[in-house]
Amino acid sequence: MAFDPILVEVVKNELAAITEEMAIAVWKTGRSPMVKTGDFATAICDGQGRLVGQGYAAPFQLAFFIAVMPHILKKYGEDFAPGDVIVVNDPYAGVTHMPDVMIIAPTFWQGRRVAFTLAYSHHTDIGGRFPGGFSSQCTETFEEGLRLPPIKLYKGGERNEALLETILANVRVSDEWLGDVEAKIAGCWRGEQELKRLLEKYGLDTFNSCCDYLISYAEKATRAAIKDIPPGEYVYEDAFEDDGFGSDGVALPIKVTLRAQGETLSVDFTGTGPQARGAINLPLSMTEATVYGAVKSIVSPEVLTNVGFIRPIQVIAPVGSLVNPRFPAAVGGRAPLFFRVFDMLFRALAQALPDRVPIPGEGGDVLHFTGEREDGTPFAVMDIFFGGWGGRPRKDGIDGVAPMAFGSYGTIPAEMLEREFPLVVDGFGYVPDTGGAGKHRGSVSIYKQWRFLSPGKVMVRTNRLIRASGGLAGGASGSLSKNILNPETENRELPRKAHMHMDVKPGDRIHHIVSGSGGHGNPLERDPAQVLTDVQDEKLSVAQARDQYGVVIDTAAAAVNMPETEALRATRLQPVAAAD
Amino acid sequence: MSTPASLRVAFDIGGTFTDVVIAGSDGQLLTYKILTLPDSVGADVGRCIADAERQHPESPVSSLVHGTTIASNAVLEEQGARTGLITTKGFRDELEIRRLGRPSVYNVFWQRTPPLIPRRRRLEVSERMTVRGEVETPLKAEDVRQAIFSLKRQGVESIAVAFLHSYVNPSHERRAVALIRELFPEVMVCSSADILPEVREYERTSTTALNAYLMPVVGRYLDQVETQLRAYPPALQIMQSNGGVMSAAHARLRPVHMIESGPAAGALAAAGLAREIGLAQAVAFDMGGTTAKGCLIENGQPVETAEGEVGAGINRAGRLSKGAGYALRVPAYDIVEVGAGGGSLAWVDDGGALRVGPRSAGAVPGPACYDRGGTEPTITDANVVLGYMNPDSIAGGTVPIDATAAQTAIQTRLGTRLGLSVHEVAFGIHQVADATMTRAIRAVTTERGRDPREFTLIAFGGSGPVHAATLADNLGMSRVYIPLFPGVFSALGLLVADLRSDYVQSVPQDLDTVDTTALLQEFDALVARAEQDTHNEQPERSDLTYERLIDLRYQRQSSELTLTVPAQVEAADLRRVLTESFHAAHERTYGYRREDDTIAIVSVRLKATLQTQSLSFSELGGYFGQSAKKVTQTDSRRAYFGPQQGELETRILGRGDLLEQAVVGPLIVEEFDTTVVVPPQWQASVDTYGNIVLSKSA
Repeated sequence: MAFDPILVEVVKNELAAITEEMAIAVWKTGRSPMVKTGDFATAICDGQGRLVGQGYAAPFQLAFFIAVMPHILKKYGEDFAPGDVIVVNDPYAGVTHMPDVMIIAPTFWQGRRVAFTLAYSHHTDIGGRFPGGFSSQCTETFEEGLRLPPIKLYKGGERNEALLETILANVRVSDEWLGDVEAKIAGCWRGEQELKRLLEKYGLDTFNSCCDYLISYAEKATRAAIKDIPPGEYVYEDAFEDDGFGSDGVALPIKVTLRAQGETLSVDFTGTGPQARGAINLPLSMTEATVYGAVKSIVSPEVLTNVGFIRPIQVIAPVGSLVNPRFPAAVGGRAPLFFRVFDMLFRALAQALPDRVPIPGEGGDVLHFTGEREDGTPFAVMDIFFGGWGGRPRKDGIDGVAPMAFGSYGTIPAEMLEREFPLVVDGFGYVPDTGGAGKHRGSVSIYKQWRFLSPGKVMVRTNRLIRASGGLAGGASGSLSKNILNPETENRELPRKAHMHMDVKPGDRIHHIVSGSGGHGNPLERDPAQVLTDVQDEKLSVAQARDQYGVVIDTAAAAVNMPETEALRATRLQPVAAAD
Repeated sequence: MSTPASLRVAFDIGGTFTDVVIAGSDGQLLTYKILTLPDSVGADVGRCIADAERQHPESPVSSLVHGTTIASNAVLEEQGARTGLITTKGFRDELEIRRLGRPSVYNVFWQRTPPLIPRRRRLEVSERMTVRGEVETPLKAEDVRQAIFSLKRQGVESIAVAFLHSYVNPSHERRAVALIRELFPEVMVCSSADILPEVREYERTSTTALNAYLMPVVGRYLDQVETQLRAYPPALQIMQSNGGVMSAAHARLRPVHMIESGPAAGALAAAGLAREIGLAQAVAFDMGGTTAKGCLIENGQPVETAEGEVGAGINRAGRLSKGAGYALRVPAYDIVEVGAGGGSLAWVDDGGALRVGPRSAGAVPGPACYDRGGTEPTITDANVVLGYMNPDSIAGGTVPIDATAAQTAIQTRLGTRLGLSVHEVAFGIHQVADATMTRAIRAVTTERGRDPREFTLIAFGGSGPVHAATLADNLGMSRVYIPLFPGVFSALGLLVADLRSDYVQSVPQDLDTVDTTALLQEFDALVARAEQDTHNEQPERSDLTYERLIDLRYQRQSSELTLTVPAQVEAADLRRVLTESFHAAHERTYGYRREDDTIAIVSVRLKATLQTQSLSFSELGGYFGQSAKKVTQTDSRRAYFGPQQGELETRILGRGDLLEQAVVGPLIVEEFDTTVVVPPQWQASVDTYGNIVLSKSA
């Protein structure tokens, strides 16, 4: 096809609109709290199985569809018929952990298979030893729940009732599980209708040429963006403090080396420690997803989300390591390590592009609560929530927003949680003096306190109980996370485990604090007026304004005492080498 | 029917222009377009009325209806009042945190709009209701007093009160409001159970905070307008986002209902036209200088929604990715707005593709062809280069056009980089703009399971008629109406607006088990409120009409479908009727139904309407037919219609020239306030309503 910039723009917009419409159908009809908070995504792949459009995805979800399609094509080849619906959640077939159930449906037009529509969402349960299926306290994937290789849930429009019955017998909240699957099928169905309309308008040849063009366009734009990274090697090392079972003295090494050379970027995890005993490992698909999401956020945020984007990026992950474990390693609790690797990638990129890289922020903590209601029906609720963004070049972080690894994740209203599940939200808000100080400060912590109304099993997933989010460019660290049981009575700190399990009884409360994010730049250079604003808004105490920022607040006048501030800051600033 | 002679006055005040339309009882319209001067809001309208009175000496003014951007501008420009918020202990930060979401996934330098009320003025009090409305923790009056004193010290003008689960039991909120009135009588106050008694605390609190934030500003503004128009006895009426009007007195208490006052009037006018000419399905398309708006019209009514955000520039840009602005849950026309207007800039991105908008050249520096300092090419420049718009001047000669400047901008900024001719690039800009607007129209059609090919486009606004035919082509629509007065068409909507009030009450129960008699009584309670409100404002009217609506979903779904409850249905049949229509609606919208599943009720709603005197478009058309100048112009110019058609000699006509004959494109119709482009394969005629009707040749 000759380059037709107008047609390309039109088809690009159409694909974006279609994936968005698919996402709306999933979101509006989904049942579980996870769909409501946004842990789902939709996509379109062309006839060759190449990702050409993705709707409503978080950065880390970008590669989910790219990773799974080869497994589908390898198994089924050309064995697809109209009305087929494939279901898969196998972490060793491209999915990143088993609660994520993906639906894939071929689109047929004029008798030919011309595309695929896809949708995944995180289910609140997938059977197995621990409710939720994302605990790290498993050692083999067989413990983690029901593993579904790519299989046809519908064949030619006919539902495989035996398969469905088997699945539903294995999950804790079968009705909700089916509701979410139906929502994803509704999304794929909507995508198929819209794709057919597009094909009626432009025909298959034009559609395919546009897909080719859009993919090479994304590749070209990514190469151009990578070229802006100063060539060289950028290394960042960290350690992970939990092997899946706890944190006593654990420090699992992680190392990432970025190599920028011309138009290509390699991301090498050589030097990362061996796979852990517990389920905190990142399957290769998740490692790749993390890399693509982080690199895109910094290097080429404007580039289309299709398979062309990943071509100039090479991921090297040693087999048998934390970031590419051998089957049947357990991976259900991969999220905390994923957040850490995402954060590390930003810090490595910051060495190359100091003016363009923020601290990605904190959160992604989860309360998972299961049990039976008074009437005997089972329930499972996942309440995911977030801290905020870290300090950025030229800008503060944001207090109370999904961190950069996530997309537009949201939270469920307390009034809805209380209506649907036997728990009460006692409160939800900022914790002062927790944001990493900096010229541009990081987000303050957010607390959430739940009160349980019926007995049940609780798992709390918590990030950064041990190692805080560090500052960048001279900024200070944010505060640590914490879980406290019954703050008004026992006031007991719960074990510092990434995935902490306990039984609760009616009346128990858990007070959870999400970590604060690191600050960016020297806090002594922060505009005193901004420090005053934080004090007035009770996000920062007068004492911390002085200690962290060298700003003296005159509380009676609600103003900065400038002479004292300047004097204090002068004593704190490092003596500068004499200028010539 | 003979009515006493009178003048009905409608005025739409926007940021740049004030449009005034005055209808005499003979059906004649007087239209005025004047510059908006902030210091004399209302005074200019008075001068227009005086002019109309000179032309109709025996006609007193019988109504004054106003559409305004005051509320939306106050939010966008952060010019609302210093406001305080009092919440349940543990919930003061939710207004700032919102739902934790963000609108743009990869923009790591995104800046969230600051909270309407900063943390220091969001105060907590000890109190708690359960989901069932039982008092778990009694309201601690001392906390409320402390909060009031703190807010008083901080100099607030307005206070919002929003407690958890107040939609089931508002007694704590009411007690707090009473304390505020007692201890701080000069402050304005509103409570969430009064503004939006609906489950979901962030949306309810945000809507209430917006209302409190707007009350003082809107109150002062209305005082000013009323003072300027005090010579005229009719009570001032204000357009709401839902297309109904409310009294100025009501608007002072609930300004949150007038955020989309302006755009709603355009959709309502289009709906009135569609009703009168018998179009069951239409899309209103309003394209101005910076944005284009689309609204679906079904059975003569604009489609409504109760979900929205305000305050982040373009409204409802991403329908899923919320968090850009402030949540607002009031009934409003479902108007989708995209950043494509005459002033939108065209550019080439890093991958070498042509893009249009959302950045706009605005009024200053404006499109390159306006010769006011703009050098970047805009949609208007493309339309000049293509020969669609007059290359010498527009707006009846008042705005001179420099076609060479438009050519230069397109050639140097885009043509060279794309390796295309000026015509090809200009046509590309036109098409990419169409693609963007197509997305807006698809958002209100295909997303709702409606096929746009079954709809007629009603195009207005300054740039709408330039793009109408090609946009229709894109969507497979074969008919377009360009109404009379396309440039002030929105103000016409004010003339046809009914008095309307909306009421809502959360009823969180399952449809299978709800007491249907009690459910009908919930509606009766809302009817009683509506009657009380109407009686207070219009004691002489007793012809209020109602529509009862109910929000239903399958249990635990995150969003509801709103269904109409048939007027005559008995309690004994209600469950069956609603169950059947919900399954059917769900299947229609999402492609499946779950007969065995539990259907949950979320809220009941009531729409109360008091009809106004309508405007007859056929009378307007008749008047136009008698008075239209049929001076057949003999002008023509060359216009470019794409690589296949190339540049064609194109006739230039006036609307009056199409009265007696259908003319086949290519053709351009020039009017005072717009240009209608009729491409080849389309033809144009004028119907008895004065509309230019474009239809696709077979």
